[in-house]
Amino acid sequence: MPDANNAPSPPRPIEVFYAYSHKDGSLRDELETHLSILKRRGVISSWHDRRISGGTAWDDEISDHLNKADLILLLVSADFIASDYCWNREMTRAMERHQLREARVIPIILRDCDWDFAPFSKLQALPRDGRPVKAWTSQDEAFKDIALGIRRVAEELGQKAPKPWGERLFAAAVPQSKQSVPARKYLSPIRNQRDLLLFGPRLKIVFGPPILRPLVPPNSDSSEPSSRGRFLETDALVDSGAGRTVLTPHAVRMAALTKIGDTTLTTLGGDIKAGIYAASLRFPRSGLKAIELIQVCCCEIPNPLFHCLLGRDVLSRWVFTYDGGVGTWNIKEKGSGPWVEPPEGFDPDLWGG
Amino acid sequence: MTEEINRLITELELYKLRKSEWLSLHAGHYVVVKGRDVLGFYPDFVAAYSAGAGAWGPNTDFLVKQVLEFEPTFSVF
Repeated sequence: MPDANNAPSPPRPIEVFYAYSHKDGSLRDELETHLSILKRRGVISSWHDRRISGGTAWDDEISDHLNKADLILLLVSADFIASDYCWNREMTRAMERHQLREARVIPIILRDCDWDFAPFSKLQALPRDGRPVKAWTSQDEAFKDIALGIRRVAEELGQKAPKPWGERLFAAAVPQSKQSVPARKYLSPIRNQRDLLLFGPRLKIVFGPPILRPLVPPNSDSSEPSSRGRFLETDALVDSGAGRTVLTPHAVRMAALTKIGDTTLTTLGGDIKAGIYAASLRFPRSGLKAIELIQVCCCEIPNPLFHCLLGRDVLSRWVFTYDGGVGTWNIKEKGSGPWVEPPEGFDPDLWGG
Repeated sequence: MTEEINRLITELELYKLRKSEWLSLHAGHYVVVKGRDVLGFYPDFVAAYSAGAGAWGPNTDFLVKQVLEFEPTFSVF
């Protein structure tokens, strides 16, 4: 009898995103039905905007799913092309991610229309030969052809599924010059001069315990649960004046982070002793790469709006552009692999040695 | 909470006691200590923390400290 504890965990399903015009809602439903077998087998999981629950910030949620999908289906019709949202937001972002090799885009031609010069026209479309679904004698046959094409791509993507955390952490120890991850850019969601002047650049983060669990040997003597920590979402202030990333004591308590040392922080009120905690940071709305392990300092922050300051230790990973005149800020992630924190070795000039 | 403070005090005392010895051998590396047990020295923080979490479990507090002659201070606001 196989040992369930030692069985390899099944690969994560490929996340599929549907970009479509609501006028093609019934065709999208039909396509989803034809993909049921892939869902039941756990090969794919899918998301579309009808899954948004009431009261949710829909634009954020769509962006979130679009930014993390592995496979993006563009359901092409004249209405899709005519829709500013589909074209400017979804299709443009999808093509960016395709070019960066972060996701695969497949145009699904639903209805006949002129798409010869569309940015996705050079991609392999489905059904075969780009023949619109509506032009097939049997619509079921057309969707079956699409489902087979998607299955091939999903299985191919499944073989390149993200490495488990442990391997990713190991990758973090590889010198950055040996890794090549394309650059990405995050544009500030708010373009408002007054807002930026009053509150500063705010970035949605999820903080919590380090993402390390698979590294712990399964036969470890520890009888504790895999993690006592919790992941919490908050707005962080991007603060180039802070040498280190800071969380408030309340935030540290809520996330139940583990303490790994202490340090001295220089503040306007003088020097203070502060705890250092091990944490992880993720950037859910932006698509920026997560920081799986980072040291954060713990002290009160004078601005009651924030529980986190993103300091220069985090900013050193990015190109941060602030345009107060227009009211925008942008983050461009450098084209490098996961970050080792802090940088290997130490610089005597920097550390006063 | 008191237990956590006492543990950290013990670990920092041990660090202080052995700092000059460690500086000559492991300057710039990260030492991992739990109570009075020294797990080892590692070239970067990720390797050091991972080793500690692997040895004692991810929910355990332990000291991870870079062996430096002067303690850095950080300006935050």
